[in-house]
Amino acid sequence: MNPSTPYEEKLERYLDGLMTDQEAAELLQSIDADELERVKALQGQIDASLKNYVQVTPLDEEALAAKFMDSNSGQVADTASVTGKEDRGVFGRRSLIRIAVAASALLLASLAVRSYVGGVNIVEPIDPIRSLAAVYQESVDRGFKPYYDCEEEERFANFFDFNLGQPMALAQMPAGSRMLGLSRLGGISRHTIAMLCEVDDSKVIVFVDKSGSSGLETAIANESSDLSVFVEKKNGFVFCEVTPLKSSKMIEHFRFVDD
Amino acid sequence: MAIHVALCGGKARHFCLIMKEIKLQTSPVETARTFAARCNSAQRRLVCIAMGIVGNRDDADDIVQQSIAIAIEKNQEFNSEGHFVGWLAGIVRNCALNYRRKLARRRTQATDPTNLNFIETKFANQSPVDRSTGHLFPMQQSFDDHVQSALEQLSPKARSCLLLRTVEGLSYKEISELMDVPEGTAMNLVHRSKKTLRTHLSSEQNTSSNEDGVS
Repeated sequence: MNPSTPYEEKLERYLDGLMTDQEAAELLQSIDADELERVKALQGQIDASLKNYVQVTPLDEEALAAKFMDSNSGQVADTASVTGKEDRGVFGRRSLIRIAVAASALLLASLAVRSYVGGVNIVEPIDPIRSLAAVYQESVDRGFKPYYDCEEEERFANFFDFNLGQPMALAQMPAGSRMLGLSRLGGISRHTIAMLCEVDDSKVIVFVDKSGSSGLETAIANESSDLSVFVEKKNGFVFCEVTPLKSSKMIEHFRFVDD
Repeated sequence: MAIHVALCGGKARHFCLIMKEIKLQTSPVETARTFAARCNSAQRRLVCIAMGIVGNRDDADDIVQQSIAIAIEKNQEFNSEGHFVGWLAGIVRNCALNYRRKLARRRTQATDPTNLNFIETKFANQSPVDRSTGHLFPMQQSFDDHVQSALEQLSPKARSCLLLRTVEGLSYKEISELMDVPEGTAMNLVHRSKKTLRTHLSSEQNTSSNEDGVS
């Protein structure tokens, strides 16, 4: 990055809200007002885009606490031994140090072997699979905004192709139905794609994933809510429409794009 | 807990000892719930840090999950939310950096499709789409795409600082603590990053309007 001029530094401090009123007034006298408005507007757009990009699904605190409990059960006594004047039993201080050194060596050796083999850490999701209704409701509560607009057909097809290995398209929608975009809503599986739609002003989500290998089918099997859930399996894929309506309106519009 | 803290005054060592005692006095369930709640409230800033380093939204989620799993295993003493987040941020930074190194090393030997796709787009830029997120790289259509493309021009540290400032609205002191950089450096990185993004976005907007004019 190029070094900034004093003027640019002032401008950045102004945009960052770090200037006093007096400093800001001095800057405003020395800058074209239209130009400043343009820069402020652009920066505002960028900030909004970044905020939108880094949305997170809240962790399931109960599940996380349970995992913490499981992992640390039996360690309370160990913790106590750190601070208390504990009885070390048959182990003296030197023995404990030797054991610690040996354990560290074993740990390092196992890490080295793992690194040599080239294994990638498998990240086990902490969150359990959530209900489709919960995922639906959370999306509605957040304003029902997709992460990707995907208005272009090519982009829509590519999204499915690269995530599920199969390009897909949408047929012409009837009046009153529209696709808002695609999202990864979390809580089901990291591969499940969610298509957010509006049908006659009702909010509808279609989840799509590969058949037989996804958390989506588990979520469907466990589902019990007031919302309607329509499921269809086609060509090795599961389509699941979660809707307040009494019939499926969106699944039928999916088309597989031939390579 | 408040009484203990008030009594121990500024003596940090004494304070830590008392906090250890408090932890012993706190029920395991309460400790677990506190841990979970603190993870939740820190989650977004951790994602910002991870995303800055690895440059990818989905990978950042995985790294944060992995870091929390490590944190659970370590069962570290933590005596305040601030210290806890700082400690967890350190784990996230290490995990993210390891992830980056691993991908870079695996460039010539990767065998699993996910990593091949990532490397292809990140290092060779052969595909128009980031296969892990579905985002187009060179042929981007929307403003958001341009922003994400511009983010790739920033250094990992600059990206993390920018996201922490913009998305989380953290002070430079907080960013400095989470990223382990001096406060002035954090501010400098954020300001320069913002300028870089605006420059990139301005030129993209000009290009788009010129193309519109031609057509």
